[in-house]
Amino acid sequence: MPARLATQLAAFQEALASVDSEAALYELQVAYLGKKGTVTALRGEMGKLPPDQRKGFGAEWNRVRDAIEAELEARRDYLKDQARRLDLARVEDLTLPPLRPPAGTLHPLSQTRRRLSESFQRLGFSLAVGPHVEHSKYNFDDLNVPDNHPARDMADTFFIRPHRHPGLDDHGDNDAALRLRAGELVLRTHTSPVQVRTMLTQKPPIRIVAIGTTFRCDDDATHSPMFHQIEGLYVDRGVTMADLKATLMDFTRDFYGRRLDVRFRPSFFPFVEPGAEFDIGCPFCGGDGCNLCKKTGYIEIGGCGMVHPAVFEACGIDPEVYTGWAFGFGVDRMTMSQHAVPHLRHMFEGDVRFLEQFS
Amino acid sequence: MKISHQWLREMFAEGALDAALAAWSTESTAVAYTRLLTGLGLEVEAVEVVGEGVRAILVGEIRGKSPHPKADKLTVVELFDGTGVVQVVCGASNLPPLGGKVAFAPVGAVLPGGLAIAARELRGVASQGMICSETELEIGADDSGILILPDDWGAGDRLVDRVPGIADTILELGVTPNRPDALGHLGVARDVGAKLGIPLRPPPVKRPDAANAPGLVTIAAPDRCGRYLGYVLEDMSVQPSPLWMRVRLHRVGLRAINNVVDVTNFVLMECGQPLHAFDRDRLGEGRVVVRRAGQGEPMTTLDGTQKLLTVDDLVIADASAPQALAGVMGGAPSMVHAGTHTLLLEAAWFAPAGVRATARRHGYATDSSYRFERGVDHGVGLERASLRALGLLLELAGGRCTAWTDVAGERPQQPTIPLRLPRVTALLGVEVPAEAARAVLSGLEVQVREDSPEAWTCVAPTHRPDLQREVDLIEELMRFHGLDKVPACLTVPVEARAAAHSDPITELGDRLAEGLRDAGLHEHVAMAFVAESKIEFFTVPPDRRVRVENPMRAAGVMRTHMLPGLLDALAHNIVRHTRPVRLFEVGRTYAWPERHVPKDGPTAAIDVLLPRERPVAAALIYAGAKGGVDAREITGAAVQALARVGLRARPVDPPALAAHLHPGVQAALAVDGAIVGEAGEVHPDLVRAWDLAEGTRVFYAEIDLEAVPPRRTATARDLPRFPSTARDLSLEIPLTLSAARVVAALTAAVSQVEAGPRTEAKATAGEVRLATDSFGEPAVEVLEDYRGTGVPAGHRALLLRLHYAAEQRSVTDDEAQALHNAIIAAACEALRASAPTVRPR
Ligand SMILES: [Zn+2]
Repeated sequence: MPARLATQLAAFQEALASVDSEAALYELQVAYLGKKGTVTALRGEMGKLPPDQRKGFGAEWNRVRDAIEAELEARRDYLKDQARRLDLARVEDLTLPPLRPPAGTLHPLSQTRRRLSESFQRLGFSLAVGPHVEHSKYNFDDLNVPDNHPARDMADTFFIRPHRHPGLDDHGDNDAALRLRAGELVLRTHTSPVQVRTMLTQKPPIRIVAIGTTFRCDDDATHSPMFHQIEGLYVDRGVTMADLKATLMDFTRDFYGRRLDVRFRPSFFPFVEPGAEFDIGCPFCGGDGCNLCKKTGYIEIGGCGMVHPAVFEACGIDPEVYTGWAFGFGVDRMTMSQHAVPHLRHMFEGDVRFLEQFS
Repeated sequence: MKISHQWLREMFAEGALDAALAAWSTESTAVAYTRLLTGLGLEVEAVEVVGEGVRAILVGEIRGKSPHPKADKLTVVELFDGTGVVQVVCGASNLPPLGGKVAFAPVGAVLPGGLAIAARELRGVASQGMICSETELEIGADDSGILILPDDWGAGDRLVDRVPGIADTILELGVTPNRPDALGHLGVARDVGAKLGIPLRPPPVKRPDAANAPGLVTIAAPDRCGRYLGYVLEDMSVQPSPLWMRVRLHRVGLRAINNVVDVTNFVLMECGQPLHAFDRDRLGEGRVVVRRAGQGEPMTTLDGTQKLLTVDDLVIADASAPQALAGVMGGAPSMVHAGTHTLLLEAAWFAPAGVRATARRHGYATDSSYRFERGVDHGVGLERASLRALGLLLELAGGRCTAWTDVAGERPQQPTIPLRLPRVTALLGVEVPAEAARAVLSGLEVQVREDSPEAWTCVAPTHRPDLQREVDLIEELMRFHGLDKVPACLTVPVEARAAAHSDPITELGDRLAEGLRDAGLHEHVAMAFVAESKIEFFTVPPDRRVRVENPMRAAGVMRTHMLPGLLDALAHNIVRHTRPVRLFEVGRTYAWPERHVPKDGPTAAIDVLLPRERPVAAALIYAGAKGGVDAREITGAAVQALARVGLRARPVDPPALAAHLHPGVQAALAVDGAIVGEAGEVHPDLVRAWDLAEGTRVFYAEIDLEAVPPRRTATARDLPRFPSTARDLSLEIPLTLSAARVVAALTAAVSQVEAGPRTEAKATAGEVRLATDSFGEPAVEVLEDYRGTGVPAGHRALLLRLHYAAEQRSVTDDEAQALHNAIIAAACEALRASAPTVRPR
């Protein structure tokens, strides 16, 4: 082997031994075999040799280049293997507390509302809404609760001070607004005005639920001046009390996820006749009696019954043609009974230590 | 309403109720009643078994009395208990004379209050039992001394045998407003009898022999008084009632006063009929007129307060002045007193709405007004109640009835109610057999004429004003036939189930809530009303605030903003723990509209009268005083919430400053150029107003749900075929110039440059341009906001990155740089118009 080739090979091999990265290996490859590499340069000198030596030199040069390339390849494999081994030697403890984005929660009342709404949508009931500040015509009169009737005592009412709209004089509605007397505007005491609004704007068949905020002047350990109700209404030809029972039983099973004892007992609500109270067997004690059911074995869910013909008449629906039922339940009580919430006040304080329990 | 079992028994033949109850159920009386009455819609709220401890009490006779040797106030009594004489030490000052009878608790008795009587010594003298007061036996409210029994009672008799009503079962009934008849024992007994199939047999009554004296009562307001029965009793004497009467009243929660008042209360509780007794000697001319009061006419009621009446108040007046507020309360001048000898007893029917209005107007809610408001009997029941009272008065107060009258005003018509049996089935979903229906209606005293097998005509009794229409009768059939006989059978068509839908605003609120939850916020529900002081910082002027006339907790204004509720919750949390506070609420705010807004649809006439309710999602992040929370977390939360409905929101300069936010730390939230909300730091004045620590930083954002555009379905755009190349730039800008405006200026500069003269490079295919991001918007990124050394005071350096691409080929560095330079130059020039110090670094 020509001495210069041998020197280059030896120098390469010496340099290769200390190469510890693929980048350095690439640099070495360029230094020897690149366009301006030292071994490449020797090949250019072949032309200066006498013709008889050229062939031999060429063969030797090829052998040295192949050797260098082979050693580069081997070294590359070795480095890759080394790197993989190092990578695999890493240790991270994934049993440390997991890193998560901060967890927020939906209010238990929202969760109940959503589940109620989903349950009833599955049963064919669409969601309807109405204003919180309501006219007593829709909150009382059209629901068969006339003025100066004791049924109004069933709900202690918050009254809203009427407002004279500036600029109203320019419009035809002026008279009505000026005639508005104290006591005519109220914070809705139940979700039932949504029944009236729906019957005034839709033709049967009607199947709706309204879930929302309601207000009564009541403030103690078990009553909040603001609370929540769900209202259901089904109006069509041939609707009976039997439908009502079946719907509420289906709903109970869907909502509580199991079959609970249910109880219907006659009661009075001015906008239904016949009227009933709907109770469910206490989900906590199974009917044996506990603190949550006040030892009765039952939890009162709310009232229900067949829509009173006077309500139909107020809404322009012929009670001889159509029948219907309605119900109204307390969402707060259902929520509290489901989650065993110990105090009503927790529901409206916004204490994050309470709220974060409902993830 | 308290109902006594012993009293109910007296409404039937002797023993009939006990036998029927036992046949109906083998449960205890308390449990059987609860099931029976609750099943009839008369909810039993509580049951109390009373008087068990009185069973051991005997009638004792005083045989001897001597002062206690060591105690002035004690007496040593020799007491005969029917079998022997025992010595009892007694502290009462009202011991009867020798031979008098008292209630004696012998050794071994356990009083109702739980006190066990044992032999003991009182200051050295042995005492073998105890002489009891009414209160100790829990049969009355008089605790002024021991209970004195009638002299003719036999020593050794058991008190419970002498007064059968002592041991009793008391039911607390929740009576719904439609059932005035159930506000008396007779009405409850009627339901019980109809259910158990036993006939009512209330105590007999007798009409007086005296002559009718029509001049006794005049009805001058026949629309308000339907009927008035008056009885004159002479030579009677006002005294305490006998023990049985006092116990009866005590058991149903009333206090015994004197025989006259007690009888009227007794009849109130038995028949549900309020009565009134006037001292007739104090009535001018001894006669009354039922009339409307004069406007401003004064009257002093029984409770001693003076009222100024209105023309809408109905009074019972004598020749000169009102003597009773009809159906509500009697008047002081003609009140029955110890010296009363002559009575005018009133039993009347007053129009319910009028009584209710008067009671409300003058702030009364009496046992009387409660019943008149609901509607008392104006028929046979009224007369029966009056005769029952008359009989009891003659029995307890002596005297005689010397005159009576029965005057009619406008009595309510008893409606004729058709009852179609198929209609019963159509409403209940179950058939009630004709025979069962007949039995129920007859038990309730409803008159039935069977015009055909399926069509009946009914007339309800006058004690049931709630029975007005066919459905009311159907409810009666349901009550007695049993609601449990109604099957559960669903008819909602399956295809209707699939058509059910949600409400768009509710749906949007729910999605925003999920986004805020995912941003780490907890949902809060605050009261919709707030104290006025808490909304003074906000821009809704006082005349547009919606006010509650009768507020609670001093919260008299419907919230005009969501922030006060969230700040209240924050304050609640801060004083209780040191955890992070991140809250949101989705709710409504309320304000009168600035000007009249016409409404459409069938409810428009009402809707124009209502305030505007604005659905809002609001978020609050507490940063404390030490910082550590970046203000951009609040914009981040809002953007994440809107991303939940497929919308891309960005913070922009607010079109106008929100007064409740820090003037230098606020932004508006924009979607497609429309403002949907706001975000910023809560104004330091509010932080102070809520008593939070000085320097506390609180971030707040809200989204106006009605301003949020409809959810957008993502439309996929094709990906660029060639890579883009990025160029950075650093701009020195004043602190007050927002990043949003810089980005807007750069974006605007792009169109300006692109619209400029066409160069040769631009003419080639695949022209170079500012790339668009995945949403089709100009790819301008803000990388850093630098405020360190090297930046002049009042300035900052904004580092931005712009991406360049061409459609048909890769972009060369030179091409990108040329466009980049042109855009920077144009943008800087535009920005300098309002901020002259802007310059590239
Ligand atoms: Zn329970």
